[in-house]
Amino acid sequence: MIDSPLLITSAILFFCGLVTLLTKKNIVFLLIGLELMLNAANLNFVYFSKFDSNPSQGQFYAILIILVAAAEIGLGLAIALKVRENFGTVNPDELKS
Amino acid sequence: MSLAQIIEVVFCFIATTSSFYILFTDKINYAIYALLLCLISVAALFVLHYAEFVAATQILVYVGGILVVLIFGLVLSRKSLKKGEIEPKENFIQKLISISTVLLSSFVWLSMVNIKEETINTKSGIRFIGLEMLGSQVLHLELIGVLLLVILIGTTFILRHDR
Repeated sequence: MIDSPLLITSAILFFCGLVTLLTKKNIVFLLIGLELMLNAANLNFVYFSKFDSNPSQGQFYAILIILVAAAEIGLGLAIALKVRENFGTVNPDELKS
Repeated sequence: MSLAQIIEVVFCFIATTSSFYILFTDKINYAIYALLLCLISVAALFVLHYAEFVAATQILVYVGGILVVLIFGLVLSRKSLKKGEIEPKENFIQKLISISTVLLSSFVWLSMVNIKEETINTKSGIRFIGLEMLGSQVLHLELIGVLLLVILIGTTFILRHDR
């Protein structure tokens, strides 16, 4: 069974991110939830790379995830600002074309 | 229980508590501060698991970059909030149903996992990460560079004022 607290932390982070993504009514909250989920994936990458013969491989992919998250949050916030400008709301439930 | 394990448990506790705070708060600025706490404790967990370079990148990129961008976006979106606009209330039943669904599926998943402890590799990986980045994985690095460039151009294009 799972014996490291890091894996449980990763599962809880993913869970909180997913529920934030599903229930919140603000686009910025959705972005925060996505960041939490990506961090959970990073924790798993780093933890399991310890058992690899070449631990730098998992860490390299963790760095790639961090870079993609940085790109995603920039674009997501730009879209959120534009949505507020055009629709007058950041609630994803109220967006109608 | 060694000191490193105690420190790990403490940082795990901070990370999980702040993520639950993000889940249950309605105030977005407090959620951003809780995310800051969560990301810093995750960086500490990286250090405890022999990934110093990832921890440094985490602090530089996440805490130094992404959170500043988030606060910046919050300030910009607050400025254009209309007068008399009410923040929408969240549906409690919806939250409860999603929490129970995710908990159930994660318990099912966790009960199936079986991890065997094998030889743990504790050598510092910074040199190997550098060699790998510019060696066998250089294509990924270039792809990420192109992606960042495209997103930079796209963000500038989206946020321009004139039509």
